[in-house]
Amino acid sequence: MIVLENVVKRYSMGEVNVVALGGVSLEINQGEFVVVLGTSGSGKSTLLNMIGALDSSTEGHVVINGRDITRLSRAEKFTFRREAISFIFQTFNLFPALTALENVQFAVDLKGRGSESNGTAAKMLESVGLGERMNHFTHELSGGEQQRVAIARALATGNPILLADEPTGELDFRTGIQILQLLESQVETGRVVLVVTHNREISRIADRVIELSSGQIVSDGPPTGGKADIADLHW
Amino acid sequence: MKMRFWLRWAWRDLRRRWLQVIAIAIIIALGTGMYAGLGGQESWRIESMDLSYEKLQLHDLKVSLASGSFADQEDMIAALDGIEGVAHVEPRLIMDTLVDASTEDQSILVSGRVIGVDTGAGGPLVDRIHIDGGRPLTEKDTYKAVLETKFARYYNLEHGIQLTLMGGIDLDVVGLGQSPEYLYIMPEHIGFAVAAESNLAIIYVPLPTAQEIYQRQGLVNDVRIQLTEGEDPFSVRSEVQQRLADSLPDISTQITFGEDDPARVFLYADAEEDQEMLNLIAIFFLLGAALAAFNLAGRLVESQRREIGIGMALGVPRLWLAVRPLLVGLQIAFLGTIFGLPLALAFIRMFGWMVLEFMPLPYTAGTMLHPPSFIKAAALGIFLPLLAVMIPVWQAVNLSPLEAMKGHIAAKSSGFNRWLKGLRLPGSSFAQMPLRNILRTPKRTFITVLGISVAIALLLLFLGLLDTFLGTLNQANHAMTYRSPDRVVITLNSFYPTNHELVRDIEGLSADNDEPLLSDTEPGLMLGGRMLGEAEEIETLVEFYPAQSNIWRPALLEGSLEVEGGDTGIVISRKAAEDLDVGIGDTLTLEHPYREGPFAFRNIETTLTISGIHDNPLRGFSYIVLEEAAFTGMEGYANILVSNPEPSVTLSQIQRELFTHPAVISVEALSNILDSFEEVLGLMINILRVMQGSVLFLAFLIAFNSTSINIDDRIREVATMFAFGTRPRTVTWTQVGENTILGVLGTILGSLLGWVILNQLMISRMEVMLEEIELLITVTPYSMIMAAVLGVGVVALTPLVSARKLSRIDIPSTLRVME
Repeated sequence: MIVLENVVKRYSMGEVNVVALGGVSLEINQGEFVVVLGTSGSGKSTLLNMIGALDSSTEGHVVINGRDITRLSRAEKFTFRREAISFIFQTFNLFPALTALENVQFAVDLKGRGSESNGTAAKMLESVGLGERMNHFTHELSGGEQQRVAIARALATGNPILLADEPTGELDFRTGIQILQLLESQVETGRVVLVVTHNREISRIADRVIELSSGQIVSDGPPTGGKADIADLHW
Repeated sequence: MKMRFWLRWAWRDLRRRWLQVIAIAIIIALGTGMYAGLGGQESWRIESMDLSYEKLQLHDLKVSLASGSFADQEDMIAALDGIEGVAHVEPRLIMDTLVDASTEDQSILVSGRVIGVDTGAGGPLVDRIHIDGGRPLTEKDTYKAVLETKFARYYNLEHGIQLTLMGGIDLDVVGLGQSPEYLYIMPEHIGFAVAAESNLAIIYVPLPTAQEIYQRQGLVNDVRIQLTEGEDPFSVRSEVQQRLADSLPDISTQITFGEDDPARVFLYADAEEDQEMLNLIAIFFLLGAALAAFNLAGRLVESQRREIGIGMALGVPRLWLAVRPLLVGLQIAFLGTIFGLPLALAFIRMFGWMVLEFMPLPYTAGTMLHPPSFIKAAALGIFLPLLAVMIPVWQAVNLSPLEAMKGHIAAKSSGFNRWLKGLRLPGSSFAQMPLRNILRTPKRTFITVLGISVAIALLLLFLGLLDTFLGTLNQANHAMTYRSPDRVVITLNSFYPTNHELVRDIEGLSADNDEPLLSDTEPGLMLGGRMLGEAEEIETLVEFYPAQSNIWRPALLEGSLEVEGGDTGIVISRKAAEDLDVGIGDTLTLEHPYREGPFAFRNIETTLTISGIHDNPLRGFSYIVLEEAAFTGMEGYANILVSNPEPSVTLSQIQRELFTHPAVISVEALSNILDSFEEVLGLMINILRVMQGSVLFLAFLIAFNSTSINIDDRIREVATMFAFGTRPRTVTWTQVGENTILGVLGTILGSLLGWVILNQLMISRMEVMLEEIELLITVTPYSMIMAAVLGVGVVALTPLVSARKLSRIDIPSTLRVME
């Protein structure tokens, strides 16, 4: 479903050239729950940007569902993201002027399904346990609730790839666990869930853990000690 | 910490938002530039006029003989000879006439005034003629003339042409020139400022030539007197008055001071009045700039709130924390002031040019830049943005560090959105966003709307002023022509019995093919006079019309045309009635000429009863039934004929046929008078048009800044939308939607504000500035629609300018995906 072939990303920062990704190749299949681990500056977020068509590689190819997105035009990338990718951000990035329900409706409207947006959005919010809070504005919600709205928004697109960048980074342990449960449950619908984190504990519940260091994959496989249950996580 | 550190940091803040900073600096520059540019108009005009009047030796005293009266030139000089304090006496013969100044390209048949002047010894030495082209008159010249510059320029006439006066007299124009009393051309006895440069040709000729043309050999009807330096004109006037009363007992004379010359009074008053209006306009510009600066500066500080909080947590003194945003405000203010200087010079140049176009002066003062105005504007330009920064800075440094570190205040509340909670607006979530964004930040919305509304208020004010001027003229036009739009007034060169042969000639006027030119002709009288009230005296032009006129009678707002019971009734304007504090049935005193014999008139006062109020907004017009003219000594006489041309007969045809008629001095359509009024308002109208453009630019800059800051404030929201694949154009149109609402709100508030200012301005200032006109405050639907379309349109479409910026957003770094 997702294929990266020798992807290189170089940034120029003043007179210094930074290699964010140094020839990464990997393949992710449908229904996989993948955690990308790495320290700050390891290239994990750059990898997420490549897959999410937010950034272009300097070399190599990113192929999603058989389509090489590396050389898509800006407009084509917009269309691709709209049809294939959903994002969940560390800082939620909800629209503060809209209620929880409207934030989720945004995603449905984006897909051109405006007529069903109200019902779909409400269902999504109920599925993340926010049925009672859907008419609240974002600042009236706790951090965990906001992230659940963000997940509901991502799910409402119905897109097959869910990219989460440090989704529990701003949350306490208990709320983080709830969020991880939500994300894990999405795999059962056939989606690819790719979580970027520096929290090694989270990687224990993944189907597969890709560890990056200095823009290189240093390990790729199931979690050490086998896949754990969410209830066993501690941090 | 060192100031250089804070300066550098503040400079970086500026660079980060350079486009908004430039926009706000231009807004301030527009304000300061306009203020400085307009602020010095009065002083420059007055200095230029002082210089012109001094160089052209404006008379100290002028003796005018009553209309139709003449005195022997030698007797006049002898009568005034030896008066202490009199340096120079120059008699003149001034005669109104018809002039044919037609060229190959255009037919120019206009009223004219031939002024016979003493050309001896390089004269005239009083009320000298400044030559703008060609040469001055000399003593040897006969049938040579200097044509008034403004008239010549209006019709693109050069010296070297030939003019033909009524009676077929040809004059060679040897030069073009201006003299003090015609620096602004105002026909006498009209009683209000009417620029007549297009329909009154002033022609200077040697005095003997004038006397010969009009067969008034040795006669004069006007004398100019120059006093010795420092002489008191009041005491000399008394002496002159006494001498004339002794020498010319049968002739009524009027002695006026040079300082009271109508053109001079008008020009000085106009400079002062224009300045008042320009100051108002400039202040509004500054106000708009201040609000826009307030908006930007407030947002800049809000964006620094988190950093201020961190600084407080680190123990940095609050004063130091305030330095950075204050420096930003100061830098913006300085930038605005620096930009303001060239703009001020540009405005000065443009408005100075406009002034000279409408009121050309022979001599102008060196510089139009008025340093006090610029310094005042620069001080305001610096102070206002600084003040705008101080308020949010004060708020920010007075928060607790934790509160400040929470960052942007706007994101912490739903604003007025809580009112809409649970209420689903029609349309998709994209359609919700514009209104929701606006409601979420009511304070910011209010400041932005206020900024836009100032621009719209200005626009509406200018459009309203134009509408009011033009609407008043239209009403005046309607009042004069409602029953006979083509009505012409034929002015006779004297008072003729209504059954006089020459008058009957005119009534039966026909073309070469014997086709009649005039369908109806009625005799009338037109007399200049003054209505004397307790507190005020009003110049008036009294028209006597036949009671049973088939051509025209004044339309009344109230009362009747005549007084029942035999008293002589007068119909006056509503403005005159208000200013004199009189009403229907009250009496007023009219000072008017009384005919004592051929060429002999004197002014007397008669008490008349006000029978009606007419609908003409021009204060100076009054009407009396011709049959009641006995109190003027002119019963059965006429000095005008009012006619309706036959269908398809043009004014020019009638003028040509009457050009050689010995009794006619002018043939004018009523509409000409109104053309003259349009000329009076021309300068202001042109300035207002420039203002409109500037105001639109101001509105655009305010809207641009607002949009640009909105994008900056919501950059992560925009990036999030992009991450989800929302098209840039969708985001742009969301911005357009938001700006449309801002534009609508700004336009509504601005229109109300504009209407209030227009009314206040009109009521408080215009009544003083334009006292001869009852201004009918009007804002036409066209202007309302234009203000709305431009106000909403410009503001709404501004995001399209920022569309490129949107498309260049670095999504990952904006979303902080890379952390």
